Amino acid sequence: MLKKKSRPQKAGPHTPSIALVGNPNVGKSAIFNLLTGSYVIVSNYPGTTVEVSRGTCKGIDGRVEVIDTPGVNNLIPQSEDERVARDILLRGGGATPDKGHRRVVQVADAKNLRRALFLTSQLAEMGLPVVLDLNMWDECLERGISIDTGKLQSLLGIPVVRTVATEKQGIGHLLNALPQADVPSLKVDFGREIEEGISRIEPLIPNGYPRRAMALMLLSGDLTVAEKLGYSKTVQGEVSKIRNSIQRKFSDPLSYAINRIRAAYVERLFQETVYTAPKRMESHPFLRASFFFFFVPVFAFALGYKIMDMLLFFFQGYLSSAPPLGLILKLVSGMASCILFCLHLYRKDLRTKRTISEVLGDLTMHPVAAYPILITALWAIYKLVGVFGAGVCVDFMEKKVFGYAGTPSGGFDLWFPVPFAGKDVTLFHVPFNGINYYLGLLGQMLVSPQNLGYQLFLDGQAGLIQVGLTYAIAIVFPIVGFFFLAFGLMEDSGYLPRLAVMLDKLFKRIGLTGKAVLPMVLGLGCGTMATLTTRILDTRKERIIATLLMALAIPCSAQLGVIAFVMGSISGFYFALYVFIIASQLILVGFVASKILPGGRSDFIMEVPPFRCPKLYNILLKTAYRVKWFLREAVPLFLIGTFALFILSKTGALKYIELAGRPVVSNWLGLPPETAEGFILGFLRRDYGAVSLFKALERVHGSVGAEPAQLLVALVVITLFVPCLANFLVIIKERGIATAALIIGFIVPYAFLVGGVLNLIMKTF
Amino acid sequence: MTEPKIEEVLEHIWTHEEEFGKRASKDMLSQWIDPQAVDTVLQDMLRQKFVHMYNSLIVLTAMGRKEAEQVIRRHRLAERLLKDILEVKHDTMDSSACEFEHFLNDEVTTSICTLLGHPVRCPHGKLIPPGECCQRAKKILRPLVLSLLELTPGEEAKVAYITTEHHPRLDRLSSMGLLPGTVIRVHQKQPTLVIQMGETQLALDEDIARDIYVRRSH
Repeated sequence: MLKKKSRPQKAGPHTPSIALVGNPNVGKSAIFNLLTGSYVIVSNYPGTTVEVSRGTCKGIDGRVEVIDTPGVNNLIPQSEDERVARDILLRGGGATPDKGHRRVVQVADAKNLRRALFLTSQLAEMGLPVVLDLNMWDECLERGISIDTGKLQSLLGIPVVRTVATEKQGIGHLLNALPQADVPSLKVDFGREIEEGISRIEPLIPNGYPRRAMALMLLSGDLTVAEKLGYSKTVQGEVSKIRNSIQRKFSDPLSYAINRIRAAYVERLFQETVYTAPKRMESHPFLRASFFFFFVPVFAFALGYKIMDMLLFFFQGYLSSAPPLGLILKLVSGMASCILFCLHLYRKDLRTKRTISEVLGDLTMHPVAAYPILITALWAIYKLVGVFGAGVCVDFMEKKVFGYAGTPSGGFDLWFPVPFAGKDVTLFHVPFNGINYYLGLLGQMLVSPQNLGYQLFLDGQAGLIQVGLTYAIAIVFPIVGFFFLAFGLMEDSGYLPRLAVMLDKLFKRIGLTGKAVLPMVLGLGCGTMATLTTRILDTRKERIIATLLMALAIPCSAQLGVIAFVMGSISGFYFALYVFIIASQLILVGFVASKILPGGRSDFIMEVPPFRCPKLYNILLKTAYRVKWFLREAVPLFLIGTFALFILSKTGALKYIELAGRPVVSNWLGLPPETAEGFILGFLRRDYGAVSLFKALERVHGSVGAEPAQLLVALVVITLFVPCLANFLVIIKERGIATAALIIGFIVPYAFLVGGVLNLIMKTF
Repeated sequence: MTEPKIEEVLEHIWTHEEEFGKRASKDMLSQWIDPQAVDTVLQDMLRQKFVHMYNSLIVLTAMGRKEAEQVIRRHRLAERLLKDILEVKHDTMDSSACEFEHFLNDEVTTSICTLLGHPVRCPHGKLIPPGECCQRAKKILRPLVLSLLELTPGEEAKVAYITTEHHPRLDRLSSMGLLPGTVIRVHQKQPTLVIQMGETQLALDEDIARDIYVRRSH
């Protein structure tokens, strides 16, 4: 992983290049996209960029290579990310003979200038030419912060530009300023003792390295630098002798002392250039009024109503209440929630001049209010992904667009509903019988339906096009697409980091921190992609636990779509039971893993970015990018899986596998032996497994559908059962073959164990 | 500033009164200081109106009493500082405190007192004469320096010091701008502590917050 990051530049050593550096979540990736015209994921979640991206930009002085780096708070590194960024800068600073070919664009969050200047002073020590880009200038204005950029420019001696990357403002200025990039004229005086240490270490630094910066890193106790400089044991000993003699004069650790002095230096710069007006920008009065007096009461009412509705749904089997009671309960709960929310907001926030997004940002991590909001958010996502995506869209795509070879779909109507009249108006009928139908007709012109070639593509059970491609495009594509849309919305609004704040305590119990919210929630979309993002976690232990839990207990959206569809046919009680079993397994396994696995938990220190109104364009772009990535990964696997199934069924091997699996499947899990096929397929795609399971159960029991208890067992096992092939490959790539084998070796028997125990319990009661 | 020798004598007179509830007599002075210096010191004290003589008894004037209390206060605060914060051994504590009492100025004394949360008794269990800062603190009825965890949501405070033994944590916090002197506001404590510093909102583990000590600003 690291090797890949530090691979040699593709461009020659003389190609000028720009490195984008800055604190986390300041918009480096957004600037990167604007400069290069390519796309890397931009996210309102700190630390999402874990890989170094490269692109080229047509600057005013010819083509330049642009490098996007992970966010850093300190260039004397404390984490892997910061080390990667520092190494990129060191290489440009003069490790190569043609010193100074690399320029740095320091992207800063304008409203957090203090922390940016902290880095600028370090860039100065590294002797790098810098342009300071004050990004998010609009948020700075909104908060009544004014920065004297002219003065800042003259104090730093480098060009300072203002940008709003999400609005594409100021990029021209940035490009124009690039040639004027200069080494910042900052020099922090660290006081007699430390300065003495620096001057004693400096002669030991080889040529080509920025002496002062390297000396400070060594004084701070960064051992990786010593390795990098190729120090022998004796030189290392000498350095640590100098370090120890200086350290003795300080009661604080030297690195902390250095940070404090630097921060004090930066503070003076900050005070000279930044002026904060007491008056803040407010939301538009009309917007405010409609938010507080219309949106809040209505939404709060809907919240209470919906939550009671869901509770009733879960227990509907036992609580066959008369309709008026149910309605009254729902109305009461809605009113209660409405009153509570309004009281809370009117008491405090109505009078203070806070903006709507600030109020929303607080509410979404409020100790009480956040939970109903979370449940409603999950419900809304379920409606969008599970019902609309997996239900309506999949149905239409599968039955109408793709259709079946041999039977015409009968076409569909184009219609629109007339509001309030309760009637639909049909515009016209589209006599389209489905792609597969026409392909079937075409195929039958050439060969008979019994021909092996025809069946390879259009067989109803394992044809590459009829099953493989249709499943990939018609079933998975809409579900995953809608999930990524919802995820993008949560990510960009700043809801995810707030979710991290809410779930930190729970996650601590399972050996993770709140930071793991991003991979875990993304895992509900696609476990493969989510496993890649476990890199944002700080320790190896956390990465392993997150990977394990995602492979075990987090169903991906394609699978969820099928599960929701299947569960829709049985009662809400079973759905609640399913959720409970999976969640308890997640917590149980996580808890045990956190006790067994060696290593500590990392500190949870996370920035909570401001709540923002997401940019639709950015979300759509991100969704498109993710869907594209997903299709590229998924479609080949679907085809491979279907092909394997085709071979198995045509050679008759499937029968033997079912026979072999029969004792486990039918005796232990109490499922029909035909379902064994589903478990094999589950390895190729998790949802595919679920679909085949359901289809097998349907075939056995006829159109009435399976017994609820059997379905529950089947769904629990298929959820816990092995992740799909793609996910497995990524686990190998990220965690290594040994860990991956251990994970799988644990999951397979465990899934059957839980399923078997569940079967016994269901039979007894 | 008063001469160390005079301070020493005032201290002894005061503690004698505290301990036995009786006035000190002139002949006791020779037990406390070099007998040859007794006369000059006594003359000085009389001249500066710290004491007056009542037969052979030495009586503290109001000014002398105040001066003595300040010395005692410095001594006992120093003991607390040495014992609680610096964890110095008991015998070293006594001898060091005797030196501390003579060179601490008012400002430093107030800071130490505030740092220690305006303690009432010294490690030996004797009362520490309260200073102005203690009176002020009593009005607010709470210590000025406390752990970040003890603040309530909405309160603003300035970071006083961070005591963590965990160096990487210290480095990480300080590079994010959480340093002594930084003004922070507690945004919420549940479900996870969130603090606001400048325009940055930071969520923190309780373990980390416990080691961050802050000074209330009000």
